[in-house]
Formats: sequence, C-alpha cells, structure tokens
Amino acid sequence: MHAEHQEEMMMMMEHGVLEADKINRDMMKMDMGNGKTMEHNDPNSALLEPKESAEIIWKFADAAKLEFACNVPGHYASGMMGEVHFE
Amino acid sequence: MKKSFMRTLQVGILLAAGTLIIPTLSVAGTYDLTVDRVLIDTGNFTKQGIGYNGKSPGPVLRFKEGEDVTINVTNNLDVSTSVHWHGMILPFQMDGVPKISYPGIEPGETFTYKFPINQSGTFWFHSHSGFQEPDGAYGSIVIEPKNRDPFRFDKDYVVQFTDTHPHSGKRILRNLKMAADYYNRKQQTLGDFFADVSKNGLSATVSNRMAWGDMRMMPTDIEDVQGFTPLINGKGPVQNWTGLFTPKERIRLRFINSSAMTYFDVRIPGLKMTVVAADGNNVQPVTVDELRLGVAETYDVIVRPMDDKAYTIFGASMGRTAYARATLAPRDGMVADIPEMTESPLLTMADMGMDHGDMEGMDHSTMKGMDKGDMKSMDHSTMKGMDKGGMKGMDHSNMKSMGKEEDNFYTNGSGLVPDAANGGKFLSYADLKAQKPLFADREATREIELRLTGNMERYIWSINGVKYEDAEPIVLQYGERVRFKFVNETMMTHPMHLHGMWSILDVGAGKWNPAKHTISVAPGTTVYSETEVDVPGQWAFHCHLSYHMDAGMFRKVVVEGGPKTASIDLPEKGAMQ
Repeated sequence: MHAEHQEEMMMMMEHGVLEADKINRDMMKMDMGNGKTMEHNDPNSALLEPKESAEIIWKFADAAKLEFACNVPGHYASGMMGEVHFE
Repeated sequence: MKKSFMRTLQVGILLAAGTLIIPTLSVAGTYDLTVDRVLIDTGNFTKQGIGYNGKSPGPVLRFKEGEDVTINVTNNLDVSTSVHWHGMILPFQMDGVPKISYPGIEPGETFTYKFPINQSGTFWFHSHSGFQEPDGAYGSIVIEPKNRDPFRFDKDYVVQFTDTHPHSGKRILRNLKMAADYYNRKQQTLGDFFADVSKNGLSATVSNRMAWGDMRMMPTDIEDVQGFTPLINGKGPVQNWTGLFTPKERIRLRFINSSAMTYFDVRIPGLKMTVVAADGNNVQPVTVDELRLGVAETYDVIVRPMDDKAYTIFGASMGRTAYARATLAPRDGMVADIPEMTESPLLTMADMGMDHGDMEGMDHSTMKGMDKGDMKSMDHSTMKGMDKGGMKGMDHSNMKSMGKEEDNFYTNGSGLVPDAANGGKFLSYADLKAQKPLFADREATREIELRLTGNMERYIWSINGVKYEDAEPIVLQYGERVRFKFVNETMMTHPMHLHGMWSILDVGAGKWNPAKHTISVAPGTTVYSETEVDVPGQWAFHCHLSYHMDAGMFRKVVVEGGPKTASIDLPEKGAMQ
C-alpha cells in the first residue's frame, strides 16, 4: 500500500524537494512528466517539517485494517510505521 | 558470556527535603576481562590464538550511555598486552595504545580502565600490541542510548567479521617483508600471458606486463594476505553462525569488521538492508542491497524478513579470495543457498594513483571495450595514450558506458568500484548523512595533507614518505578544526583511523557530513575529513590494516593546549611494538 508513495517520496528526495530538515515547497509543482508532480497532496497524507503539526480526518464506512507510515526514504524500513484497526 | 564477566549496578536515590523527591540515577558498571591464550577453530583449521575471558572473539560489552564504566583487564599472557576501545571518546590515558596512552599491561598485571560513556551505538575493542588483534584479541561493544534510537527493531545481533589466518601475525609480516607477493595466490600466470597474447597481441601484452612490473605491483594486488578463513562471530562458513527471527520482525544487525586486512562486500540475498548507523553514529536511513565493510568500520542495518525461511548473510572478501557466511533463520538448523562470489576485480592503471594529473588526461574513448563483467578484457596497452595535455578531451559521459554509477570515492576507471551482485543499490560513502550532526558546521581552521605512501615490494608503508619510527608527531591545537586531506598514492585501500576524536567525512553534504572513526581511502583517490580538536592528550592515527600499521603507516597526534587537568606526561618517543 505504501510502496507507490515511497517511490514518489524517493523522487522528491532525489530532486531536492525534501531535505533532512526542511521542505522546498516551491519545487513541489515541478512537472515530472507522465502527469506526475511532487505536490504530495493526497488527502490521506500530510507533509511536515520539523516541529510542524497537521490533522488528517478520516471517515470509515467499513471495518478496516490499515498501516500508517512515514514514506520518506528509509523511514518505513527503519520502523516509522504502525497498524490501525477499525472494527 | 563467562561468569567472570560481571556487572554491578549502583542506583542511588536522593531524597530531598520537603515534599520534593528527586531521584538521581547514577549508573556505574564494573566489568572484568582476562586476556588469555585460546584455541580458535575456524572449521577449516585450528590455531593457537589470543582471546578474552577464554574465547575469541571476546564478549559483547553492553554499556549504557551516561554510565561510568570500570573495566579490569588482567593479562594472563606471557607478553605485554593492551586493550583499545575502538571509536570510544574518552580520556587519552584510557585509550589503550602502548607508548602513547600508557605503557601497556605486563604479564600477570591488571589494569583498571575508568571512563564515562557519552555516546551510543556499535563499537568494538581489540589489543593494540603486536599482532594480538589478528591473532584473535577482539570483541564488540554495544551501547544503549539514553533516549531511544530513531528506528525500531525486535531482534538485535552483533555480526562481527574477521579474517583468521593459519599463520601467526608475526610470521605473516616476516613473509611479506621477504616477498610482498608471498600470500598472493591470484598471480597472473604464464597461461594468462599466452591468453592475453592471443587476445591482445604480443607487443601489447609485453608492454602491459612491463608497465605493471615497473610499478612494483600486480593487478591482483587487492589483498596482500590471502589464505585466511573469514569468521562471523567466531564461526567459519561451515560452522555457520545463525541468528533467529520470527517472520515480519525487524532485525538490527551490527556489522563490525575486526579483520586484520580484509574488506567484505556484505549482502543478504532476498533482503534489503536499511543502513541506520555508520561507525556508531546514526545516519539518515538509506536502503541498499549490498555494502562494503571496510576494516575497522561498523554499519548498523535493519532487515525485515517477511517469510518463514532462512537467509544467508554473505560477505565476499574484496579480492574475492574467500567469503564469510552466516544465516538468519526462523529455526536453528535451517539454511539458505550460499551464493556464488561475483568475479574478482582486477586493479586498473587508474587504481595506481601514480599521478592524478595523468589520470585526468586519460582518454576515456579507449576504454569503451571495458565491461564491468569482464575486467580482464581491459586492454592496458591503450592506456599509453594517457597524456596530461589531453585533459580537455575528458568526457564523463563516456564513463557511463562502463555501466557503473559514478562513485567519487573511487578513482575514475577503478577496478574496485563495487557492484551489487543483484544489480541493485550498493552503499557509497556519498549516501552517508548524519541523522543528528555531532558538531556545528564551520570552516576548518587549517588543512593537513597526508599522502598515503608505500613500497609494495619492500613492504614499507608510510605517510608522506616517512614511516612511523622516523616521523615527528602531528601537532594539533585544542579548539581548532583541522581538515585532513588524504591522498592515496598507493594501489591499496587504506582504512585510516584517528583515535580519540571524530573524523567528519566530507561527502559533500555540509552540516550533514557523517562523523566516523575510520575513513577508507581507495587507491588513487583524495578524501577529506575534518576533526574538531576537542580533547587534549596524545593519540594514535594509523592505517588499520594490521601489517600496514606495523610497517609504518602510523602517526602520533599530540593535542596542545586545552583543559589543564589533562596534563600530558609524555613517554619517550618510540616505535610501536
């Protein structure tokens, strides 16, 4: 579920949008071809610089078992993920 | 762990007046190490060696950040010994280098080390006397951080490599001094000569062989000492050290290379490795298929096997003369396939590092025939076209046709540039970025050039052409930030280790440059590291290849100034034993 998003974030890292401690938001609109951008604007995600916070509101119509995760390269793999179960 | 290895915890609770209760935790551990003659069984041969607490490798010393440790080291040998805590930041008198930190530990004596632990991560310890370390005197250190690490794991294993040789260290050096190629079992043969003649023609082959002869080396000079058995946690490939896991668990592997001479290219077929620390310091996580573990370096990786099956930890030596093998498995006794070693690299003229100017003038167009899969097809005779005047003709785009991603930590055209066996991502120094920089970034106050030099045939290794016993110490001033420029003028890779202070490796990432204790410098390259001179005292600085260090690639570093309490009682200048 997160693999595709991890690819997008890898692209953001490689193009200098994501630095270790800041986000170059002006670069996020760059046209990456094939209709791809690096806007990171999916409603189920938030992109935060150090010390920032944000809210995501979810509505569940059905029961679900989901993983939530940070998809910055290497972060998921080093354990920045968890599971959430809605019954 | 042996019974003689004890730990005591003292927890003091301070009751303050009034309603306030302020608990203060003072953690102090006491540890005992004995230095003993031991038998080492590699599965291929058994040898007399040296170990700690009756075993080689010695125990895993587990400390906690903030702890004050006391370590009693008792020498049960009939010769002097010492213990150096590799990568630990501590007062210089506790650093364990004979004639620099202290006189050493005489037979029958106990030396008590006392120092505070102000760091966390994976480190190791070893004897700094003679060839006791190659003979087995090493162990590992795992320091739990005060605050939790920025990664999660369910299992935690030390994976400590070494290259155990049937000969004693003393005998190996004697043989190398007698004939530098004594242990080179991969020499080009008369058969190779005729094969090259039929492929490249007689004159090209002869002139190629003569060029290498002039340079006093051979394209197979990647490992000076061959014929060893690689061990992981004391187990040879047949004995197969095994770490257990439950599928979907995250496993932290603490790779440590305690070899005397051998670099390992480490992979776990079927698993990606997320590198989370290098030389004990956390790095921004980077996921790779394979990494090169330099002598004395450590890397911590996290792997997550999803399936109920075994995986092989495979470490091929850089010269592909031997491999280390261990297993991660859900149950004891399960094994996975042992992969084939990829083809042995051959040094190229580029690795000679004879003259950087020449290298830049190399006409890359003549290198099109080069194919990473078959380095032997490289025609050295075409390199006679090397011409300083031709620098303008340099075209990096041609390098891409070699099928290798450019890695600035290898010289252009190097035969040593590693390729992941599965065609995936191979860790480069350029990928290492500090998770949390230890020091504020600032301009270095001065630069010190260290040319790594040597004469292979005479087996003399030196810095700036001068070997240790003839050299003056490097004098640093407390409070300065020194930029070291390593220029490798030899054809060997040298892991340079500065004691007592961090080496901030310049990977071009500014404030994110990672702090390491060992900087590997490939042939023909120039690598920079910076050091905040923040401790007084005198320290060792050397190539960590045991026989290079002994042969003179070593300096004493003296830090002048700084806190008065650390007055230096200088022992007389003397050679390492």
